[in-house]
Amino acid sequence: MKKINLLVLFIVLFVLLLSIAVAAYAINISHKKELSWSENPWDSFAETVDEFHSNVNDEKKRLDIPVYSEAELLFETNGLFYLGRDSGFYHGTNAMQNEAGAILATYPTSAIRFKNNGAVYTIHETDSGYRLFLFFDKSNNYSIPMGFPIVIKSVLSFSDFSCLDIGDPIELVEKIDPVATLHKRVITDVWELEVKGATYFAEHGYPCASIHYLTDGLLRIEYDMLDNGKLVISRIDLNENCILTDVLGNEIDCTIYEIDLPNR
Amino acid sequence: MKKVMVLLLCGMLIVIIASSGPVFAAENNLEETISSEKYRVAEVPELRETNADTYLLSNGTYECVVYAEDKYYRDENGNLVEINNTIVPAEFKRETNAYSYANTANSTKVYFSDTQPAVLITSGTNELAFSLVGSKDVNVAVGAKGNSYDFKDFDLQSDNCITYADVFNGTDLVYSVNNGYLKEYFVLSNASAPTEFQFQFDTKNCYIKENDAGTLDVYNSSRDLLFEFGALFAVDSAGNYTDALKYEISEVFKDTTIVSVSIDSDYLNDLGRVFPVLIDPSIMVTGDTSTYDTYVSSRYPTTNYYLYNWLHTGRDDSYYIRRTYIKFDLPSGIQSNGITSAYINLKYYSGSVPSIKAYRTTGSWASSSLTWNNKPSYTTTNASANAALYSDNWYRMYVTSIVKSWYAGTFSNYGFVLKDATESGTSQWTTFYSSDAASPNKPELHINYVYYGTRPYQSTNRDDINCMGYALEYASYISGPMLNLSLNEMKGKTTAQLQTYLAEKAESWMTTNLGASNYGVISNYNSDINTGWYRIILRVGFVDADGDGVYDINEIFDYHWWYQTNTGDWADKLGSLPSQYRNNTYNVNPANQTWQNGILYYNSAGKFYQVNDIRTVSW
Repeated sequence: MKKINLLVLFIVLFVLLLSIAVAAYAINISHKKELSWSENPWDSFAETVDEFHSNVNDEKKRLDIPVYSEAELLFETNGLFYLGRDSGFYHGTNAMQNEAGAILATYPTSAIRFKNNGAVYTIHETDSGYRLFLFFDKSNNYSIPMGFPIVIKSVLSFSDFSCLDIGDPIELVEKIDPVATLHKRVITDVWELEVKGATYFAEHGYPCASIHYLTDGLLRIEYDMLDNGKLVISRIDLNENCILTDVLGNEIDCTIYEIDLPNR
Repeated sequence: MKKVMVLLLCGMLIVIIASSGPVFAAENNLEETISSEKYRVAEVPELRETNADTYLLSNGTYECVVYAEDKYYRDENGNLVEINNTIVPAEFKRETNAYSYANTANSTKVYFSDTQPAVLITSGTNELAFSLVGSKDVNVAVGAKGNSYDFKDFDLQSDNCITYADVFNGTDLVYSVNNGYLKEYFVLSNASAPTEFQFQFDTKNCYIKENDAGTLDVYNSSRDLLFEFGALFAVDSAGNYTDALKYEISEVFKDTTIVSVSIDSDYLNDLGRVFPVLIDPSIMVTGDTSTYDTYVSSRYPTTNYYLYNWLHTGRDDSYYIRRTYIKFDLPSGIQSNGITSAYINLKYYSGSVPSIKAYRTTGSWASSSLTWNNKPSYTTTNASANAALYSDNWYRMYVTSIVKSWYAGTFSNYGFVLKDATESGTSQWTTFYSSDAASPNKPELHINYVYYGTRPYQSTNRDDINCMGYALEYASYISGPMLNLSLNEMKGKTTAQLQTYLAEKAESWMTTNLGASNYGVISNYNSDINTGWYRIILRVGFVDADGDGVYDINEIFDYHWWYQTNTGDWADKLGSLPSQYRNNTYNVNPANQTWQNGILYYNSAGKFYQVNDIRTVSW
């Protein structure tokens, strides 16, 4: 009986400690902020970059990366950015849904890396262990993110993807890099994209795509949507210098400092 | 059968009536059609100017009625008060002189005594007092009660006239108060009437001097010209004219000056003279001669007719060719592009049915000095069609192109010359009411226009200001996130529903940032707006990639704001791109314009607002 009581006590203590741990962990999770123009959060991101410049230019200095829930950070973005969407999509719009100030006001982070070439990336992390990188540069005064958002769980190499061929389903990519699953969820669950829309966007330079940051370059995989809604690979493109060319022809240096990559 | 015949007859009558109507330019017919669809709602007091009234019309446009002389004067409080020169009883004393009558309301007041002809003119701080020397006590009466004279070119019986009967043997003296000047008429009933009259002027604070033209000027001690005497002339009841009269400063005393007016006795004793004869000396208030209508005569090429009461065109035996010159000072706040029509209304007084046109005068002139010999040229370009009778002796001439060119700055406003097509023979002449006539008989220029607001085109290439910031004159990039747009809330909405949704967000923003009292919804791109405000439009659209008619989150949406510049053309700024002026978009609904963003097109309805133009953003 004593043994049973001890066991119960042990279980209770364990659950209690676990709850405390979970609660403590939860407290560390940042939450997206509802925007309110009356609070005027749209100070120029360029000013923010300048403010952080002296602190983050040291590539050996580890940054304090905020953690957000995966759903809030990657799917409930209200169009501020989307995985797999070329920022050229918003080019020239008046509404400029992807304004840098709005992004940083919604998802505050002090993890802003100022690179030697004047480019900047911001870092956020999900509670599921993905790191999100958004790239900015001087060409538009840091007003909007450039190219694609990059999300990394673990840094693979191009050889991991060597089995892929044109026409293969996205599910095969998902098995190699779970990042593809996130991209697929945006396409199917957030956008609810169907064949007609997917075809329209592909014809106008915005095919469905997943981006994979590798040890040996930046991999961009594009997909066609079949009539049954399935996504199949239409193009595989590796840039060994981690240069990403957006729909407008801008070449964006997506090199990420080693210290900022996950598990480093 | 009878019914058929009646119908046929009616049809023929309609065809005949329709085909016998005046043939105008197509523009005129169109303007008539347009103008018949609207009516005056109310006068807009804040748009009132000294020589113009503006009315809001039922279709949201405006009608400005401009006069060739001031209709209002500013009182001591700066308020515009309607000029009324009707002479009414008014007790007034200045030193030892008592006056019993005065004109009702004007910046220039003229007081009259009720026993002997004694007059005081006041204009600002300037005064001129004088009296007729040697007159006996006489009867005084205002308007038609004072006399029954019916001179062809002079009105002696209106309510702005006062008669001193029988001041001398066979002589009446009539004063007529007009804007900026006082007319004196000696009316001689027979040849035994005096040929010389003397006035005693109070010159304690001024002095009188003869000028090169043979008339007299009144100066103060600072040598500022205060009053001017008009050129003397006389005319008999048959219209026979003479300028064989003269002023003379007879005597100068310490505080007074005697001025005599005399007429050549030969003129009065001429066997062909038809009595009564009218002699006209007039006194003009310097700087207040803002009446711009007169005429010239080829028979008397050096004579100025500014002080005559009517306007003339055509040709007759007495004056040969006569042409009328008229100029309307253009009110500010009207934009050339906004003018939909402009026309002169002129009221017929006597003579033939006119066949006159209005031509743009190409040189400057002044009413008080214009003569046949110094008259400016005119151009036949954009001349009006023949004046057309439109209502009860009123004739109308459309001059839209000319007025627009003045407002556009293409040409200077030197007014019009009204010229009859027939300037030969002796029977084609017409007399019109001039600005001297009592309202509502004065010549008018009507300008119908759309008010485009006050905000000029402002050029900027700043990339941190987008269309909304630009349109609202707010130096900010007011993005979708800044308006708290929720894609989930927008999802599934039609363009019209998106428009409503976005408008609510934008209005919330405007209420907080501009103030609820500084913007307002208007129903259309040309709806009436407040003075000092301007129009803007908000449009919204999306690329319906899957063609389902509603917005999906994967699709791109955008909004776009334009504002209307004070030329009527619209301006906008696409995102961070430089601003652009949209040429020839006045009188165009901007909601019908396509706006383009790269490969993507947006076409939506628009919601219109008016905004108070109070901000001064440095672009």
